[in-house]
Amino acid sequence: MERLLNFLDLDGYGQFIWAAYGLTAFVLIGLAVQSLRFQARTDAELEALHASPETTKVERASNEAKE
Amino acid sequence: MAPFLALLKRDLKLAARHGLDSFMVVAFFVLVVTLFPLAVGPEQAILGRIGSGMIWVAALLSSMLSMDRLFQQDYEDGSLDLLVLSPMALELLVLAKTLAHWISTGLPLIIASPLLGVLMNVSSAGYGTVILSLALGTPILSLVGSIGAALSLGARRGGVLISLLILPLLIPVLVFGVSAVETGLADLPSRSEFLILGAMLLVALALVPYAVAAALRQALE
Amino acid sequence: MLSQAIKPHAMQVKGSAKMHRFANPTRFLRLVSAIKPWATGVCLLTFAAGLYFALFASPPDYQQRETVRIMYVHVPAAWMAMFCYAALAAASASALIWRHLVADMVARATAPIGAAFTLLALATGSLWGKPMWGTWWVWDARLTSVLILFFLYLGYIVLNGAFDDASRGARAASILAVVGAINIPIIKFSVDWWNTLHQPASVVKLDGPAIHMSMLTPLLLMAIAYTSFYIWILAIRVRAEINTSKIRALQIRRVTASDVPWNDS
Repeated sequence: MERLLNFLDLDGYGQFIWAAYGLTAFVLIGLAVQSLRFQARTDAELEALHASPETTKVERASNEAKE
Repeated sequence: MAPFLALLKRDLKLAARHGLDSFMVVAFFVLVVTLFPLAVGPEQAILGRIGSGMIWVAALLSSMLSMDRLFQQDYEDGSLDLLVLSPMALELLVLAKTLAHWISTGLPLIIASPLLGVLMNVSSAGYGTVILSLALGTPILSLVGSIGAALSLGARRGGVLISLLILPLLIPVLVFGVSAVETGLADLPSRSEFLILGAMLLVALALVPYAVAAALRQALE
Repeated sequence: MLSQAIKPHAMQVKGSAKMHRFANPTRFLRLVSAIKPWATGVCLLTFAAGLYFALFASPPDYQQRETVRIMYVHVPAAWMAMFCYAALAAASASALIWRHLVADMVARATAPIGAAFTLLALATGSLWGKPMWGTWWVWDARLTSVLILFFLYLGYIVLNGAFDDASRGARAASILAVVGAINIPIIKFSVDWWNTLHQPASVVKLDGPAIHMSMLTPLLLMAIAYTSFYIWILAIRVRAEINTSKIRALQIRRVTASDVPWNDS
């Protein structure tokens, strides 16, 4: 336990070091989550557009040809 | 050269007809500088120390203020399309418009600057360098600002957007403009600062018209 | 990274078939989804290893003591801040020159990642400065340059979103990115000059003597982790950008089809 506290304290600089690492984790994970949701949202929207009956056969064919 | 001069004359005439605009820029310039003694206190020594910097910052802000109308009106009434289609190189026409903008807003700032020097307790030996540094610097402000004006044509938020785009790019002008005045005031040779300012003006003159012309072409596509 | 992957092909103007190979969004998407799992794997592995070395398996610096551990998240962030702007400018330039749709999307996807790295470089630098310099912020040349870089990213992102027509925003922002890239050396030079005039007293230089191997290992591992993180996120965002443009095209087609009665489809 004491060793753990000692490690977390990092010679008295613990608050700065953990704040830096925590902030980095927060920003990078936040960016990753936001990007993944961006992709999921547009994926779903595109899927819905493709699947909707309003999409004509021609459109669907041309989209499939593209992919 | 005839279209260049014609466009210059037209823009100057338009600016003169709306003389209030030039007046507004100068009034804003003076007003911003007036705020500083009220904010930091009226001590003459402090004002003298920060005066040249304040004048430069105020010049930067007030030249941004007038930037959004550089191409806006021509864009709205369609004359910009005619300029783009004209046989004259668009880069030169851009230069004519920027020159007209500088004469109608940059020049009044330079003329007003000694007055602000007096208000800010800048020692009278510095007036010459303030004027010279602004004379070299304000054309760069107009040139680089015209990039922002062209890029933000038709954007949803015009005025503030230009400042956000352009002010970071203008930091070198601010740094060398102020340090030219300050080294002059400290009785040190300020030749190199003026030479660098002059070099930046020449580079801006050579490169900026291409960027603005590209921006205008894509705005009208 | 990815923008560099396109560039050599785009450079060969003569071999136009090659030049347009990756300009096709679908083909580019296939390339992206092939790279993505590798980038994700490398990212997670190097992050784990890098964090282990950074926090446990490296010694404290004799001068900066434990605070040197902030370097392992700070310095790679600063590197990536500059690398992302280079990628942004290169992608923007090729978007302007060759009108590649994909280059536009790479640029647009890079901007928020670069801005995030720049923000991290500033914030972790500040957290390092407080115990080392006794203050959160000093107007030192490097900090000031990175702050200006952050504003350049902000300008790009805001201009990109400022138009109703997304393709106009992309083109205007590309021009801004190229202008910014030309301006960056001048800004750097002027900030250095300004800093020598107003040298703040009692600043401990963070770049001391040559870095010891035990510190280089976590630093390089974290640098690889950050770079592969960039590629991973870029792959996700480029795909989302391509989706967005496909959705827009489909919607426009639908509106034109339903509004025009004689368009019998």
